[in-house]
Amino acid sequence: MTDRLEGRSDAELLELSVAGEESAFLLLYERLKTSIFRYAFYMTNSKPAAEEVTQEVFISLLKDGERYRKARGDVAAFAFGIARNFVRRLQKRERVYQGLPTDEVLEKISASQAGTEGLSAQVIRNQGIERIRTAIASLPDHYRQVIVLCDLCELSYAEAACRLACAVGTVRSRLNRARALLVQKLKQSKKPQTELPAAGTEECLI
Amino acid sequence: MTCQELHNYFDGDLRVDTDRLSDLELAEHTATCFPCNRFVEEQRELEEHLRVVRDSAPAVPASLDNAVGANYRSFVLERSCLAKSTPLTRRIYPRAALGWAAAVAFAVVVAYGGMRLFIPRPHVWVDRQGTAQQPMVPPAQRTENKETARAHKITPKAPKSHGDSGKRTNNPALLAEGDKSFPTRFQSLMYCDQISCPGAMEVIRVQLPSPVMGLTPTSARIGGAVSADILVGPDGIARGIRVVE
Repeated sequence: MTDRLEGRSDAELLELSVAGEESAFLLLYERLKTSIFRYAFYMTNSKPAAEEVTQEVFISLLKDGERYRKARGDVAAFAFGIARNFVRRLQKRERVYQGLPTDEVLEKISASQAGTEGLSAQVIRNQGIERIRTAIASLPDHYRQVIVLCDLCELSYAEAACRLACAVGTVRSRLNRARALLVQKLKQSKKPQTELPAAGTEECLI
Repeated sequence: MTCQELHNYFDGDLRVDTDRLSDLELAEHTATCFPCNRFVEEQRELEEHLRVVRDSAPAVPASLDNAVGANYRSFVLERSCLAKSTPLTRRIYPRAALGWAAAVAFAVVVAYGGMRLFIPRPHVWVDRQGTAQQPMVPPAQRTENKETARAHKITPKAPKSHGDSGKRTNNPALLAEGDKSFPTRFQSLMYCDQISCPGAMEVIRVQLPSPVMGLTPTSARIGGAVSADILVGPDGIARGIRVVE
């Protein structure tokens, strides 16, 4: 059954899925799941949130699958558009409870990394990754989108432009600025805290 | 190589352009230009960071695969149940319902407006005797008002027979004869006695198009209009009618 569907395009698979063919849906899911999950993960910096978004995207694909128009782009772009909306909705919802990571947070992560020389290399590596992820998450939304799509999801400029509904030149310039900003943020977070905080004597006593 | 050319390398895709860093030309430039050297170092470092983050991305968990599969099956099941159900039990979309209600309301308003505009109303002169509306009566009919004034404030007696009460008749002869229980030549329009019609009644003179009364217009009836006196109860309901010659 799957072999028969293997040669089919995403659009045909979506049509069959909406018609009720489960194998077509599972094949379509296999094709799209990694990119959507990764995008949601990098954008939200949270695995449970990425899982939630991925689930919602595929439910929406089924419910609104009939609204898909081939002329307006491929199914991956359609699914990505849904994912982007869900991520925004999720961020709006979560913003009530937690703010975006600021430079102070990055500095804290960096400080904790500096003091962990005795820990294993794996822990240090994980902290480094967390520091970079936090730096990416602290970028403005339009810069974060291009970094995630081009550098982390490894889409070409043309594909990213299609997903973001903008020109390739716009993607290129945004990426350039986003990288510069990211370098700056990472550099700031790397700075060792040489000066002692202006606190009372209790910190010195400890 | 100029600094601008070096920066142009990095305007493109990092994954491609970092391979060019091994170019001798680039290496020569970075050796002599400190800002470019620092820039290249930063870009290398950034590429390394991004690669680490890329590689550290978690795999899609198997639980998600199962959940999505289950979602699909429940979706298909729900839809098939919905298709089997009768149209009345199907989901009602509030927006669509609101839209339909607005459309119906608009159609009613348009129809009412159209009726008001295009359907001509007969000219009616109302003479409410004893009220301030007397100027509405044409001067030619003022003399007849004396007769109607006598009929004013008459308490009607219970009619003997009201077999045809509540029915309008188009026969002028019947209209002329009228019900004997009513004042002069009034034709009963509905059942009326002391209990159902308490209090004084009022006579109102109106002009109606002659076809309404079942009469053919004559020279005496200018414009095909016929004058008639209406006996109106205190509740505002017409009790009797007579044609004024």
